[in-house]
Amino acid sequence: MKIQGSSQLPGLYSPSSIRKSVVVKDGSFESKLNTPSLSDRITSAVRDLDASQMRASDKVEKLASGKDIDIHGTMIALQEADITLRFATSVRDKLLQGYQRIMQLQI
Amino acid sequence: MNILDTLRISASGMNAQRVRMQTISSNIANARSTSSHEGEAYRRKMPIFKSIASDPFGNAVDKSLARVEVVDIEKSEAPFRQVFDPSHPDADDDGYVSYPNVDLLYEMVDMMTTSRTYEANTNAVETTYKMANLALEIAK
Repeated sequence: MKIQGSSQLPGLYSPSSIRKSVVVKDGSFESKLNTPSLSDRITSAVRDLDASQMRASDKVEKLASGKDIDIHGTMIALQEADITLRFATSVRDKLLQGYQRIMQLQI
Repeated sequence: MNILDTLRISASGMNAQRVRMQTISSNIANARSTSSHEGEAYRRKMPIFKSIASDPFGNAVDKSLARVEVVDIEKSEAPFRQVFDPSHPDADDDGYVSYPNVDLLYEMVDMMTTSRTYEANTNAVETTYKMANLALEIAK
């Protein structure tokens, strides 16, 4: 803890020293800055969702054209795509619900 | 280990059973093939399964979970069935014909266990799917 520098004891409880102590504690202030924001996370989740949809449609296409008769693989890919899509839509519903709650606040 | 990995493990199990079914159908189809490209009568084939850690770099739970993979298809070394038939083109000097070491009874029982195991894997997929849906219900 590098708070000896501030000679006065009350300084220990000032916001800046508290922040400092947090930085020293986990030593990863920079990594904290680099953690993805919520919108980044959502973008990457949407990309994953798109990938699973593409995988499923690719499998269905291969099955339909007779290139690769992998029935259960195709069905599982379809189910995977279904679960991820439903997960994404329920997360979106929750986010929208929260947004609407806040917008309805009486000022 | 997320829920989709569980689906992949079940898929590997179904894949293994599909290969097993293919060897069984090959065995049944060739139950009376007295010659083959290997120079002798057809030998009974059987798949060799190996369990492979589904995520070797994951945590303790992930490391102990495994999917199944078909590493090889072995030929049975059991002796051929010898039938005396000197007029057969594949008969040896003593007039005996070597018939494949395939026993249809075994193949039938194998086929039943294969189909049941495949069914068990589809049930595992279905249950995983149901569990995921139940979890999604929470948010509603």
